[in-house]
Amino acid sequence: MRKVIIALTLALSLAGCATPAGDLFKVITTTIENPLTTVDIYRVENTYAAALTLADQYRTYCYERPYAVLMTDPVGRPLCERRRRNVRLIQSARLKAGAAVVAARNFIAGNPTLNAASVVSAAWKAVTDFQSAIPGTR
Amino acid sequence: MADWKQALEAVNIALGAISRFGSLPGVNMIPYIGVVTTAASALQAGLNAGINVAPYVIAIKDTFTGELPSASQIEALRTKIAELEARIDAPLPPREEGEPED
Repeated sequence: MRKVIIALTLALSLAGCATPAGDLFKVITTTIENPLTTVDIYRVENTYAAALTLADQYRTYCYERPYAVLMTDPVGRPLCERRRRNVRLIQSARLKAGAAVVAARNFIAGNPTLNAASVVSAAWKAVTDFQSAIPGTR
Repeated sequence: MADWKQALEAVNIALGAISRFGSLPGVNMIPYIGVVTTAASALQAGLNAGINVAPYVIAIKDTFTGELPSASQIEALRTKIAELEARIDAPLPPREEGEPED
């Protein structure tokens, strides 16, 4: 009987402190995963690829015909009149977007437990800025 | 044709859901919400212009339905990105007669 009481007391005392202690241990030892993952950067990269496709299409459209011919085209003229300037702006914004995407990608790959919100946010902003530089998408 | 329209709609709904989640008081896990929703306009612009950006829309949509991208999908995307970057970054041809300066 005494053994049973001791065992029961021990069991209850362990049960009483096992839960909070166990939770505390779990909190201490659990790896806090980055809320932003490779999926987040994958979404950015797909949006970036879509913007690159639009930019490539613009450049191809405005450079596949001689400038003089384009200027006689009611569609081509307004779109391509400043084609050189526009492509330079696209290239500049593209460089920034590409760098921001690579920075976010590398940060997430190299720091799986650190919050990548700021670098992913910067990548999204650079990609949207790039997209805004493409005539016809504004 | 209907596939990408449905995909874009799904992406817009998903982005909208994230946006609402991000606007809840005390919830600030995804601070880039504001630009995410505007980024969808690039996809919309491409689709409207008949430019083939559908694969990217569908790829984004799939991430919202729980499908994680495979290593080969990520690799293929990055290869395509590098190819497009090279085309856009290529030097421009010489200025033509009548063409304004930069």
